[in-house]
Amino acid sequence: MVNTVYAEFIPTQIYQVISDVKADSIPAGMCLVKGKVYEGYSQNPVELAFVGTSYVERKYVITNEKGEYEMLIGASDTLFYFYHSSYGEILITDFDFKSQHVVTIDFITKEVVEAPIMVEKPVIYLYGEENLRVKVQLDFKGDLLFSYPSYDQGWDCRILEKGKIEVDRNVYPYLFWESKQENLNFKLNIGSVDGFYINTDSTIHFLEQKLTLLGLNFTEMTDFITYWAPRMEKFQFATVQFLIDDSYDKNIAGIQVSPKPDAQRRIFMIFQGYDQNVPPNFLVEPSWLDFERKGFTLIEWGGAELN
Amino acid sequence: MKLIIGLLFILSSFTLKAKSLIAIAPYQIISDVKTNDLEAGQVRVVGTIFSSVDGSKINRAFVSTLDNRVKTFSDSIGHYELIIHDSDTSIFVYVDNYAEVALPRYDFKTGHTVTINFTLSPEKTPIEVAFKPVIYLYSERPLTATLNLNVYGVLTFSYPNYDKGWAIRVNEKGTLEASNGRHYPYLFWEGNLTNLSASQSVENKQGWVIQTDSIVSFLENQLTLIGLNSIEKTDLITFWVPRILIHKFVHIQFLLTDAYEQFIAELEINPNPTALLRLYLLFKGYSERPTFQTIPQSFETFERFGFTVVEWGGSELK
Repeated sequence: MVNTVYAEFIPTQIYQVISDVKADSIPAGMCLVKGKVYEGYSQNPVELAFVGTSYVERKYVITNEKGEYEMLIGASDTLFYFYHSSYGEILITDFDFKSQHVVTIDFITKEVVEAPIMVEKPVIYLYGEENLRVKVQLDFKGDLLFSYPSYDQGWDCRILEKGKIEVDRNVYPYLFWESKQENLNFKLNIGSVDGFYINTDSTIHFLEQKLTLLGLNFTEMTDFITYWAPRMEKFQFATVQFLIDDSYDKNIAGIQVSPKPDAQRRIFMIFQGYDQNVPPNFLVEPSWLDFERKGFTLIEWGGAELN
Repeated sequence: MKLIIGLLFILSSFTLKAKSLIAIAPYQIISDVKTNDLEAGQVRVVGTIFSSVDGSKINRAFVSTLDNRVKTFSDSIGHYELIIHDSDTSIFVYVDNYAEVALPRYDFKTGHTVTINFTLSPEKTPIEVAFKPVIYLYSERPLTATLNLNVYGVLTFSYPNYDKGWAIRVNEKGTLEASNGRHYPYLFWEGNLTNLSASQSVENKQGWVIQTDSIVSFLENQLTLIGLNSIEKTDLITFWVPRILIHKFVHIQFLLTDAYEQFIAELEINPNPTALLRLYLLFKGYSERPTFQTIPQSFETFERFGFTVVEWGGSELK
């Protein structure tokens, strides 16, 4: 409580114009803007933040690991901003950028302590010929907290009819695991971010549509929606990103399955909810490869809520 | 900490919106005047503590400086008085059932009497969330069923969408088909319950105290005894165990069909199921083994035949 009260009175979420000087090396009509982004308290650099003049026209650069950025803009521009999903945004409006100038602007953010994020409820469904024996092993990127049936260096499964799975003579509809993971956040590509921004009034419709495109069946989709939709609807708006297949392997958990599935789809949803409408317009709708079930099929889905 | 001075700053629209949500100022500086009866370095702070609900004055509110060195309680007319030092900067006010209020930074001047009134807002009253009740319907012969749910509280989410009821076709394989052609493995709802505390459900100490490292085998045994099938069991265990494992010990209790009907939600099904099981899990977490004695519950094993309906849900009591 005490710290919180004090924290509000240290000015952060601000910008600071360090210098604004004429430089003949800059082309006429242009202005070079550079600087760094860092936390007000720790002075830690803020990397992978967006800095630029426009979301819509995608005129922005992404800060490097030192929090630095550099960008050539038009001298007629007046708006300049900073945005990061964890740190929020800082806007500069009505700034008089001058032709052939170098302007150094630092953005000073609030402090964000990156708590480990829960990787929630990945469930794995297996479909195949009755009595097929399958070994599933995962390479968790975080710390495993709970698994059901218990994961002991892998799951030894036998596929039963209707997609049921036998492990140690007990029957399960799916394999379940959950973990806690550091540094889980939206995945950025250089120049764009795959994802969606939704009004949560449309959560169900949105998920039904995307999950159908991604190839989930009715049961998997219902399990997914009933787990995540009530969580998303606690907010009015949400940014949603799906990590699919390779990206799931790389960022959440690798998987080794023996025998190798004829078809495999892994879907991980990351979302962040907001009560105010702050659309990050740099999001680009992803395109996904079609998924077709055939033979021995493995489906997995999980998710995480960023706060 | 780095102090940033002399800079131009603009709060984003986001921050401005968030700030404007505060409807009632939690404190108000009424006056700040020089008085002659104080020693050098002393400041008198006086005022009244109000409730934001009805403007009434709050008795026995705790009022203190930041370091708790000087503290007092408000009297029966909500009045308080403190003699603080001019180097103090903050005043805190707290009373049960209200959110704490702080005057964070004030320049108290030596020899002054400052009158500051505080208005406290109630903490949000806890509402128990009924999580994830799911309803499975099974029939060897396909049939069409309608279900009407009457939740003691507010229905907050349903899937498929509950619109004055669910009308659903039950297929042989236990899948449900809605009129929109979509299939579902179960019907799902969630709500905020207002009736749960009235059930005295946990206070009556029925149930079990479980060390959570054995929660999985406990639930597997109990749910098998009660009569859930392997899918229902897995759905319940994978939903609740991660929430239970946050605690070292839990007091856990089941409300079965009649108690479910009485305290959680009424469910009217047409045609009448030939077998109905509704199971509600209640638990409360403890960091140490609670000392009270519990009375283990026992249940008749549920038998499935004909048109069978199974529902499970639960709440964590805070």
